Amino acid sequence: MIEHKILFTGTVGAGKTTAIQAISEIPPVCTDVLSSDPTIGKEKTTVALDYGEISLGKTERLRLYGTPGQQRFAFMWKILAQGALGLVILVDHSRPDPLRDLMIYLDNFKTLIQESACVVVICKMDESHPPLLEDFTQAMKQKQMVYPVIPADVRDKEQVLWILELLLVQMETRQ
Amino acid sequence: MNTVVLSDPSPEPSPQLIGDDLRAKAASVLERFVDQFGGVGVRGAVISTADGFDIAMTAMPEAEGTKLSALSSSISAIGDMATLEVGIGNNHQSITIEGGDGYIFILNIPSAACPMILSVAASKEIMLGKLMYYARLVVEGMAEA
Amino acid sequence: MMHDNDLAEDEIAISYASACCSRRDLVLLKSVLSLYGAQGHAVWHYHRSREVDVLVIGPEIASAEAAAVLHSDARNGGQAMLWINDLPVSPDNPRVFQCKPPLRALQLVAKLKQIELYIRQQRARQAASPRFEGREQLETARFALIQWPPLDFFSGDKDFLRMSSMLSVRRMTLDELTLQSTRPREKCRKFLYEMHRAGYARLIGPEEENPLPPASAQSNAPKRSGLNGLFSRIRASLGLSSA
Repeated sequence: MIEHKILFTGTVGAGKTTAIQAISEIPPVCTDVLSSDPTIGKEKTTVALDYGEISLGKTERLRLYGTPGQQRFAFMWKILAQGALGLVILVDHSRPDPLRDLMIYLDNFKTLIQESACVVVICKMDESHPPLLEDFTQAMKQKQMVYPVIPADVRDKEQVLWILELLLVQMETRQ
Repeated sequence: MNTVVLSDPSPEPSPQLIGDDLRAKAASVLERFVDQFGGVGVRGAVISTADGFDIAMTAMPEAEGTKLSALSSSISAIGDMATLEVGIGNNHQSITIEGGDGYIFILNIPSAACPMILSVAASKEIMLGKLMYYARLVVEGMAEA
Repeated sequence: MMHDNDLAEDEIAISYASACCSRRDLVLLKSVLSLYGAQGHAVWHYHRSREVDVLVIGPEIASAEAAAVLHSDARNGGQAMLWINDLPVSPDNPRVFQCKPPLRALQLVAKLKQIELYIRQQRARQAASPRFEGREQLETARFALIQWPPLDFFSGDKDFLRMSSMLSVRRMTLDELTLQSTRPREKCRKFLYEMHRAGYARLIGPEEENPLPPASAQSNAPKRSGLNGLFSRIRASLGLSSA
């Protein structure tokens, strides 16, 4: 069985598990645990990984991995990033400092991104308050890490597929 | 991927659902546990929440205890997945990691109120049977918390 | 136009035009400029044209027009402005140099020096990166994405979104983009032109290192067959259209 991998990362509650759920052929496997952290406003949090699958024929498979969001699990980010074809960074616009959140993921996954592909997805976007989409693209321009930045609702399968399309297009261009 | 860097050195806020009583109990349980070995074999121990926050630790630098809490959380979660998949139960009870110079034992502390994990770092001289016996006592003691 | 080789090595020529200035200010300006040039600074030349290095705008401009002039797109050539006017200028605007009327010689000389520095820096930047000479250059130039455009830039056209995505990982020429996107050449040309004009893409000079080798002109040849086929299989399984 030939395995390929796409990685979803982002802060807790941004929608990694949801995004994988939208397109996975199997019910996603989660390592969610009851959260003891009242700051994250969620009952459960991923402590190891989320896992979904898409089969590409009889002998080949695309694995979808979701990383834990919290930084103390950054060692898992490193493990899961190995060999990934591309990375989707989900940014939760409702958090206090989404720009800073994005910078953390861009820094931590820099090598993977530069060697493969990346799409930044702004979730729960509220255009009536900052940061605006342009603030994200400007910040990435300063970092010289310029990749697609799109707002999306990852509960919608069509939108998740479009995210993958933009990722695939990058991967194909690299060949 | 050797270049991954932890960008944010500031510690995450300690959860408030862990009361002082629980912390105190965990601390004293750990003290008694380590005392059983008279300084031979056990290098340190930490009791943490299932989602990776440390509750109490002993004979271990704080940074190590914090890190081990997160690691054990992930390892336990994958251990649970494995026991389920292979059909040897619903939750892992313990996981042993054997290194060249010692062991790490990770034990599940089932508790409805506050699922926890006990992690013990031991040297190669440890008497495995003795360690598992007293570790299980810790688990039983905390499970009632 | 004077050629630069008529000047001493460090001297530069600056062209200017004026509008809405009082007669008194113009007379003062010209005499200060000739003194200024004689001292080994930049030599300023008057041209009756808008295509000049510096526009001198005086207080006789109508305020609505003034606002329009001040807010005009800074990306269009970065033309400098000597603003002889009381109307305030945003401190963030690097190309507008203000002298409140009435014009005074010392104040003016200080501004001339600032303008000269600005133009020297601008020319140094342009020498380092190739100037966009026109549509002919589109055919052969290589482009790099420098900022992801705002959503309304794409006008909902998914092809443009795909093209931007491609440009984010590889610096491409029009030929390469046409091949990679399998879209009509004219559409790709329009995309690159608009991206460059709006400032989201820039030209790559020949001396710049290309981190990825340019897509081979013989792209019809089978690529690493494993991976190329993989992406088609992923597309098929997800129900995405083939590229």
